[in-house]
Amino acid sequence: MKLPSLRYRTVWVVLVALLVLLGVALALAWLPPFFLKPLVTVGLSGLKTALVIWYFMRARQAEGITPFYIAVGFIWLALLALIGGADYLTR
Amino acid sequence: MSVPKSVSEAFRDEQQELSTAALGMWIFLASEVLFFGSALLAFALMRIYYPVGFAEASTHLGVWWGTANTVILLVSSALVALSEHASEDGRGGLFGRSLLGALGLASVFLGIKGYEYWQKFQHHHVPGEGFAQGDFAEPAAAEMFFMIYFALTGLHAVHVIGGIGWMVALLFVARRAQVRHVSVQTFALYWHFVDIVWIFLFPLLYLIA
Repeated sequence: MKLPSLRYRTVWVVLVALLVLLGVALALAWLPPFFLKPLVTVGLSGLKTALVIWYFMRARQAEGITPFYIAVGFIWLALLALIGGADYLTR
Repeated sequence: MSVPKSVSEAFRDEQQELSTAALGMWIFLASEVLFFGSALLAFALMRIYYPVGFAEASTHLGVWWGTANTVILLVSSALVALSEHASEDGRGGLFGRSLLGALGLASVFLGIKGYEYWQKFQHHHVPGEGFAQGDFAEPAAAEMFFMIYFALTGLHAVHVIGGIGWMVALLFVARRAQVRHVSVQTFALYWHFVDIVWIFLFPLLYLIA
């Protein structure tokens, strides 16, 4: 386990990283449209989510079967996207 | 305010209790992912089917209000993470101050959201009979956009209200007695999830134009 002071500092470092990513997403919104723009925007949200889950929600310290249930959330989303995408592509 | 390290009778030690509570919360959050995920999928598909109408409707949202709310939720999440560490270390003062700060920010978030809703009512951008169809080139798509906007942000706001109630309860207990760390940990997981939902809602709703 990290030293207490390091854990508190990590919170602020992660917050700064989240705000920087938010700034990048905002800057991107003002750029002219390009092919991968929506994917990059959602990807930035994915990065922010990863930081929150890993550091704030302390997924890195999860033990037992908890990591499996953390993964289940993402599996749900993947299934939803797969079924939704299949509907769109085959319609 | 003090934060003791006590264990319920059902558990061998504090670590087992914390792990069990975390597991239960993660299972709940996985069901919440389905809840919000299906609504976000509906939005994504409609966005693909009606790109022009959705992009046009999105320009009627206040992007700076949305940005302010995103910053507010990110900072509140950091404060909740701090309060969790503080409760783990038995630092009652820091725990109370951090949670109070998060509570204040959550209230400001709701205030801004309420102001945005009020603006939408003023401009008749609420789906229904009085919808200002003349403001849009594709009014049907714009109405669909605002329908999903109100559904998603409304559901999210309900979760924020739930989080506020939870924070008030934790602070109330902390003033009168002792808050157990397992309660703080469980709440923190919930609040970070509420933050994550907004992390996706903000770019999808406010920045797509």
